[in-house]
Amino acid sequence: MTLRKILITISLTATFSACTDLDIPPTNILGDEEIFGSNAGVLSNVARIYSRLPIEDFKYYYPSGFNYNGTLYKQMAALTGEAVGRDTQGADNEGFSYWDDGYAEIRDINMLLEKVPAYAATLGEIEAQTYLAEARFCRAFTYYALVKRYGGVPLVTTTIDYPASVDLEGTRLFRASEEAIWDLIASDLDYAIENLPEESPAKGRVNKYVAAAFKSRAMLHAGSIAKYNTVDGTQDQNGTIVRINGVPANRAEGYFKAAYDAAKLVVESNKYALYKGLWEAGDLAAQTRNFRALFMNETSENIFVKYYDETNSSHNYDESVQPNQTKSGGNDSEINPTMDFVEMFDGIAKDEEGHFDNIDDNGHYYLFDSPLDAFANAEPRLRGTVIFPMDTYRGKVIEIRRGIWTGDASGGIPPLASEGNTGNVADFPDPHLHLASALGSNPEIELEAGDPHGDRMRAAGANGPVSNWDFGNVGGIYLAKYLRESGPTTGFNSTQSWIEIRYAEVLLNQAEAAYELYQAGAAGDNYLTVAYNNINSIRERAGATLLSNEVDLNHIDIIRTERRKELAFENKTYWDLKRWRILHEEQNNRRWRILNTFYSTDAQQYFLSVKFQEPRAGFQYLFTFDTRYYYQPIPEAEINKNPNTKQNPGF
Amino acid sequence: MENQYKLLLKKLIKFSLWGTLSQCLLITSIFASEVNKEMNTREFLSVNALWQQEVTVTGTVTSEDGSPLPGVNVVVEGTSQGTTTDADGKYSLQIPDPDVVLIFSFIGYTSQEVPVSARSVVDVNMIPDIQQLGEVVVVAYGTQKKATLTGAVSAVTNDEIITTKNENLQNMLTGKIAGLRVRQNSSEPGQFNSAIDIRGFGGPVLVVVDGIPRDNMTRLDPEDIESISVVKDGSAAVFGSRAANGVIIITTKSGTKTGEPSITYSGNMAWQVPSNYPDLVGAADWMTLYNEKDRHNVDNSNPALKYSPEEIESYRNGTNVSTNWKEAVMRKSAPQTQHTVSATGGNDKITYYSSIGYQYQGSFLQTDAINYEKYTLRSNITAQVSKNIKFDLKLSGISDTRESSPYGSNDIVRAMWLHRPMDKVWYNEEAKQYGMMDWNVILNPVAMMDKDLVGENNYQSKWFQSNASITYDVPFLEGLSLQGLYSFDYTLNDNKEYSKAYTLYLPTGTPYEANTQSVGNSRISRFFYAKNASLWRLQIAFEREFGNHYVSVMNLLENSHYRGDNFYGRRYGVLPVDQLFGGIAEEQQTFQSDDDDALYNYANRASVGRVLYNYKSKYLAEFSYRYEGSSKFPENSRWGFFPAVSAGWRISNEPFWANSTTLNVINDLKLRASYGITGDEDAFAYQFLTGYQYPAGGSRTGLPGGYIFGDSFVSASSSTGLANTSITWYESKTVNIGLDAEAWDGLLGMTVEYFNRNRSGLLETRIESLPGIVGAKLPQENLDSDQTRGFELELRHANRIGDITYQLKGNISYTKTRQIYHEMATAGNSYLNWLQGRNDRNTNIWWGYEGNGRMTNWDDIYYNPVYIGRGSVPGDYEYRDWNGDGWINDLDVHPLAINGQVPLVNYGITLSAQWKGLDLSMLWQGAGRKYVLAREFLYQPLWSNSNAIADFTNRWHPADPNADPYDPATEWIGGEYGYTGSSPNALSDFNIQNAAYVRLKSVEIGYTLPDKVISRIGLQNVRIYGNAYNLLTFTKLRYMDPEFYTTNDTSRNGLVDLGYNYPINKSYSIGISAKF
Repeated sequence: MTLRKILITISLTATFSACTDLDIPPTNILGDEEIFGSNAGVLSNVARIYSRLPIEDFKYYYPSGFNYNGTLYKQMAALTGEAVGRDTQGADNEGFSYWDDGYAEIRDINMLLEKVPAYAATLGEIEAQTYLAEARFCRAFTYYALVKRYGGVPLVTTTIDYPASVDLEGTRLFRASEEAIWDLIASDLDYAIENLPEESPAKGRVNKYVAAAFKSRAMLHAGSIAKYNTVDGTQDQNGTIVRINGVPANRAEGYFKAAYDAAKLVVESNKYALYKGLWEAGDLAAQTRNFRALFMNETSENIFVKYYDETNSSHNYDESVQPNQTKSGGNDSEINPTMDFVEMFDGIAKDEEGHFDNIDDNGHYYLFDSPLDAFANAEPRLRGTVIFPMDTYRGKVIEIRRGIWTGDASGGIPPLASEGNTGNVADFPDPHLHLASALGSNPEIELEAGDPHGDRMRAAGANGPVSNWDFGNVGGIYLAKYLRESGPTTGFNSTQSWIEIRYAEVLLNQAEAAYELYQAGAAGDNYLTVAYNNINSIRERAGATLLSNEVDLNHIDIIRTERRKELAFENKTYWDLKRWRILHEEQNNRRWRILNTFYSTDAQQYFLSVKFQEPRAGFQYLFTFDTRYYYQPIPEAEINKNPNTKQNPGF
Repeated sequence: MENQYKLLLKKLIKFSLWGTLSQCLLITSIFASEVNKEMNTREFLSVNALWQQEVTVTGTVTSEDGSPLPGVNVVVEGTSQGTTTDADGKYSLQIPDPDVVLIFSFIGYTSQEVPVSARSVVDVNMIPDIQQLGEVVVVAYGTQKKATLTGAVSAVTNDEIITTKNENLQNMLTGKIAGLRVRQNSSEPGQFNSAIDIRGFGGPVLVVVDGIPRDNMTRLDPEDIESISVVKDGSAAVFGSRAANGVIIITTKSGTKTGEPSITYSGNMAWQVPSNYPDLVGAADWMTLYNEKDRHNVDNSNPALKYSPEEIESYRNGTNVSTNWKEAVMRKSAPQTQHTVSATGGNDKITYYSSIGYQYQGSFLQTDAINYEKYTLRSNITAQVSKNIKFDLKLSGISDTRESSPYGSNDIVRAMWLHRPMDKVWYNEEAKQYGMMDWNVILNPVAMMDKDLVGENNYQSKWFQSNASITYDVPFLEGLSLQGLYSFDYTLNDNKEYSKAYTLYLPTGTPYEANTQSVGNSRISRFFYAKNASLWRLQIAFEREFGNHYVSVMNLLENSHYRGDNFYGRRYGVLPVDQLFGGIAEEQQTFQSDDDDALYNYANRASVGRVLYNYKSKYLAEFSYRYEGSSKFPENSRWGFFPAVSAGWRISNEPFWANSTTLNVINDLKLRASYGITGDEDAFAYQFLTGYQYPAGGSRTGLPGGYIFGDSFVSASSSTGLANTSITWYESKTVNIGLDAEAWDGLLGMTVEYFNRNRSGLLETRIESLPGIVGAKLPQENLDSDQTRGFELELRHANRIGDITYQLKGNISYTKTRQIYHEMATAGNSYLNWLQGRNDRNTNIWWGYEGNGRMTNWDDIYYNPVYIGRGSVPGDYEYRDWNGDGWINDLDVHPLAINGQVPLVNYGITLSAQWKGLDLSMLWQGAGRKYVLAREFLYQPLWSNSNAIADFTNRWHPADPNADPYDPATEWIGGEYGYTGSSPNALSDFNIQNAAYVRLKSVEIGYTLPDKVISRIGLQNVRIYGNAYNLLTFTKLRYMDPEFYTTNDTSRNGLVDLGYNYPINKSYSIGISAKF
């Protein structure tokens, strides 16, 4: 039939002529060959792995996670008593779960481990070996971030081939024992130490000693858990009882030894040294400058560093920590060091309890021409770490003041009603006390004739603290560590490098491991001598009082305190307090103590009041650490998806 | 690969052959029946007729009252021969055959087909069209008579559309079509921010303009539109691949073969004002509220008040002046205008419609910092090249420009609302130094819209759209035609963003540097996006009536290809030059977006067929299909088959009905049902592959797009994760049952529809079921399913009383969606399962706290049966202890309301009336089952110490502002809201407001000038009108427009989601249309 013929002819011509091929290759997806077939390609994948390493740096925000893109209102330093913050209202925990991101990182690493060998010839055997060792380092680093939070976690060392060869049930792995995770970390790092070059192929990438330095940290942590942990969690996994929380105590010595040896490898390589570029014996100012410079520069002390630049990656540390006085918009004053922190250091007048001595024998405040005078002889490391009231920063005298007292000072100034008290200063009426309720309503107080400070002075200075919820200082002191002296102070314009591992930590790791081994009576090196030497070299650089002989090193707390002073505000202390299992003792209905600077118009001098952190906006700032948080809860969603994941005790 | 390709080709061929063959079989079977005989005889007769001598027929056409009707089209059926009646209603026409049928048609009247039956004078009395039975409706790939339509298709014509005047065609359709749901989110110029869907099916809705899927519905000039059809059921299957959510078919105007060529101008001027936009408090009220909030502290209820009575009084008596930020930012009205000039005409050989249009919309911002301008051009030409060949060319060009401050309207609105009345616009007005508040970093909104200061963004888009087709009416077989069509569309977006650094001044005079760049003091970015779509189609169609049998068959092949590409460049500037060349080379960037909607390349190929059959227009049947392949899917799951079948029964055509005097008051009654399967390819492309993305997404501040090795930044590559090698179309199966009725000769018309759509294979990842330890990015899989059900009712009434004719049309629709299956893990306990479960449950359930009145006195507080806070005061909110455990906590949360973005119930009533030269049209439109949530500033007075809206002053507070609120002796004054500082739980029904509304969406009054007045000046049909949009609104919703957008999803915290939105407009316009 003609009609039919026409229809068919039309259909056929149409189909064969201008048809579009439906097999259109993607414009934006690359294959294995493009990525693993060249060093530039592998490096892009390696960059991916590094970029998502769980490094708790300037962009780590404990309520939300790593690489946080926002204002850092809450700071980890406020969890340890080093500092107080407006927004950390009590003992707090991570508000996110490092789980999915951790395993995503592990998958990327495992994939690289699986793909690179096939391309080894093209890439070069040495290069390929370096990539593999680097990946093992990164895997250890990631598992360390998991194990310190959760204890034993599912052990994944290959890419889970779902859905091709593994079914849904096959993805529901049990948690491995905590011990197995620590051992995986050790073996991955051993591989890395064995196979990485002596020198990093590029700045920022790891080498043999970075792996060793990190191993000293991880194994010290493992040893601490074995020795101090009290939480025991087990799971019956098809008849086998697996200890998912805690490590057998008999492993402690082995882990400490591993930490000690790894640190020793770094020390004996002589590739790193404590930075003393600006340091001069006996010169407190030079030693202070030296300590500040350490965090701003590329120094011999840097072992593993995460770099930033203006165009591609930047952070907002300066904005968060900036004194209100020097800010140019944005946020400020999120870290306010406490007196509890300050009192750990040498060179400050202290009473019998070790507290800062601000009241004389007659029960009156000591008076100072400048609040700085009270800290003139403080250990340079402290002066390098914090900004005291009237310290100079960015060419400005940082005016931190709680208020002005206009009472009669002729007979000495007796303690204010708020001294040592838990309330807000504004709640203790004193007709002579002039405070600011907010920075925007900061009254100017008339000074007496002839006052060297002029005619008028703002009650709360240029930074506060003020009585109500507002920007500005809330603790009386500012932080100096890592803070730039120049450059923008607002937004994401900071590019300081984050020193994840520095040599001082390795010395401290070695000292702590050595002391633990010494206490355990372990055979081998003269552990006490090593610990003694390491502590003293740290103290010497710090400008602190040296231990006079090995016998003085009679308690682990000496090493721990040294560590807390040296590594303060580097996001390490929180985990230290946790691994020592002493955070609950430190924070048991505790309020942190702050410095309140007042000016007396009559005396024309300052006096320093020490009191507890002031309640604001209804928040009491009372810290109690719940011991179950020594292990953080595994995300509920993961347990729903994988019922074989047993929850940690207490949740 | 090659083999695969061949295989696919074979498959496609097989399908088109199958389609064609099955249709051929059907036709041949009809041929073989009695029809055959009849056909032969008739064919012969008509062929013979051609040889007969031509004769002339004359006559007079009169209207229903007997007066002559000029301008009536008279056409010989089946030909293009025709004429129009003169001023006296007379016509004269040469006809080829004394037995032809003449068709008389005129706007507003029913077309009449009158057999000449060898008469030489044929007089006709036209009957006003108050029924709509004769209507032809545009459906997919063709038109159908409404009378015999079996699918659920609603249509509106130009006249009905343009009674609403708005910048966005979508908003002009609100309330006019049952089941078409439109919700205007904002009236910001150039943003066209409306949510549109069909029957709650969700988006995206396929929009077909002149037969081609296109994305610029919002930009079309309404004057160019002939009609809009909305296909709501399975009969959309011929558009199969993207039709799962329904189809909007837009047809633009074309020329007419008869009638004088004419030029029409229509234009209007409008004044927009914000609709239901909250006012802000002055400083005196602000300070009062602030003091209350300060006082509202049980531990310290008597603090020294921050603002003294004297200070408050100083603002009240005018000594000090508050800043009214709303007035500082927004003007009282904003202009808007639209003009269209069109020319139309034609003859036997060629017909044309062309138009040019212009639209301008200014913004409410004092500086008009945001505005929009659009030019449109359209030319539709049809040429009858020879007796059997017709050539069609439709061209359209649109060019538009949106100008904006570098700050979006959301930023400006937010800053306007959050600034306190004590903050100052100017630090020093003479020196043009803007102020800066000292309590937070919120930039001055007045500065933000000063484009001289802050720079300017400019967004330009250009659309070129074309389709050309050739139709060949095969001469040897009547009713058979072939058509080839090619369409090419090109869209270009050319955006420029120029933002400058500038200085604000704190009250102390300290300068604040805003918008500083790391390099230079300005930033210039250029963005280019080029998108093109090409489509060709070959169609064969056969349409013929054989006695009582009507057959229409169509089969086509369609091929479409879509490509998108883009790049952008950025430089920083030191000098004030707003061009890229003026920027410095340091840190310059060029880049390309690899987003799925910016960089793409995909193609579709389809074979489509349809068979229509009816017997005596009484038993109706239709079958259609689409067989389609998409390059988005892997070879093995690329092809989808989407069939639809429908049937109808016109009961009124049965003799028992027509002969019954009781039943036949219902002149027309049709029962119809349809079932169709449609699909959707709305999946991300290439999920069947696994590979690497390079560079991995990331940003300077959010990281990690890479890492710094050495001294350089190494961009990262990231795995695209798992592949889904069997990803395919999801399927949507829709049942529709409808009933159409016309009764009492058009006095009442009714359409009722019930529908049920089941979707399966909806795309979802296993993110909620696959353990996180797998660690891979997951592909979408065809996992989920849902069900959407509802009904629609449309009632029509038209009548004439004396000189007044009027039409009333009302529609209402209701839709609900239920999730049948959602891929997720089971929670550990039954309570959590109840709380989190989604399977077999209605979607959009709003969980929250149920209110239980207010504490009106101290006894309510002292003896409250549930635990309440220590600081409670009179006026505080009470909640129902839902689980009876004595305190209010998460466990009391239960379903409260529905939280979809579009209301579940939508209705509209259109009234139009004409009296002599006057005409009136009104559209009342409303919605129900819609709830909104106030957030942040709209939720709480002095939110974050910012400003408060005026409504919040209606609150519980002590009569004496200095009294202690915690003193039981204090006398209280009641109010709508709690004492300042007492805010209801954000997720309680105190804050979840019912946004049901009824509004006079549009009203228009027009007057057509008498012919005798205007014909002297060479005009005809001059009409002037006044129109108002959103004139009246009735709602219980407080201080917001019921269509105003805030999201109910509290996990979303963008400025838009929080309600910091440019207002919806209310507009008043006057306009004129005239024909030359």
